[in-house]
Amino acid sequence: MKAHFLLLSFLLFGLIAKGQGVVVQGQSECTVAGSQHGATIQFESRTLWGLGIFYQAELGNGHETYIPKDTFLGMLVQAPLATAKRISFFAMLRAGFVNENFVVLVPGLETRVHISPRFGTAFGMSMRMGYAAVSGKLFVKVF
Amino acid sequence: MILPGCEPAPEDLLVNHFVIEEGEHYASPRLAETLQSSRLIFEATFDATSWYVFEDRGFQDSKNKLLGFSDCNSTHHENSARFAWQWYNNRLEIYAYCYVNGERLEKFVGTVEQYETNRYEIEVRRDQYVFRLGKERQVVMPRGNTCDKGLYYMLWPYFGGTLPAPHDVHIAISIKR
Repeated sequence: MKAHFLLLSFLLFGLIAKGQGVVVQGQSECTVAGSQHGATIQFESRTLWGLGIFYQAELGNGHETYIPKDTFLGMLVQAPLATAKRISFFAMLRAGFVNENFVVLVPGLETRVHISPRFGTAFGMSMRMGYAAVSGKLFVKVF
Repeated sequence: MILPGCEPAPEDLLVNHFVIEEGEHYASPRLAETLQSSRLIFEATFDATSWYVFEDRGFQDSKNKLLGFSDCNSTHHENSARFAWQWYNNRLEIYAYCYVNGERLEKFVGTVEQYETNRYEIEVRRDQYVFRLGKERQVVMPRGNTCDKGLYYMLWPYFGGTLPAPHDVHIAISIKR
């Protein structure tokens, strides 16, 4: 399954990677079950369509360390709804596995604000576990 | 970013009050959700509306579905695990209710009282489902030949069996996240 996932990722990324940008994001998401933290890397076209992979998890409290809990790993597709110079609105669909085995689809909306041409922040809303979840992100356009 | 104000929601805010209206099978609200863990844990409370007597007593032992899930990439009539309930012998009986490779299996778990909140748990193991009611009552059911990685969609309260609800039925359910 992991091999298929990686192969599919490379194929899809290859299709859209020509002349596109790469965006790396750090993110936190507040769900009904608590907060999760993680990262996303995605390719973005000039028209801001995007395709990426993400990983996020709750930081469960081990005795002396924090251990990832309820990990959520998968792919995302981003579609621009409206864009301006500094602010953009997107529809998002995340699909992946929670706790390794359980397929989850998460639709959402995101507002991205550019602080500079390379850096910015984003705020999102989505449906997780049957309830609304909110997220915050910091992103950097690598190239 | 830490989102420091983000705490798990208080449990009393996460109670779903399901109503199966008279003449209906499906409960409202209608929800769509998938299982995200190998344990489905919830609390459920029945009220006086869980009492019913059919004129045709042959339908009295039809199992009403409480909560559960379809197994990995299966439909619920192929492989699924649910708690079920019925008003029978003047008591509210709880059953483990499964489809295993298309075959329906039922096993009595215990009885509960109206207006009493009880903890229910279904644990998915490689070859078994483990049903727990409270801390003491446990039933093990076989699991069919399914995959591990895939879609497990939730199955919500449903009245029947064959006959629809004879009157409005109220069930409060709180899934533990």
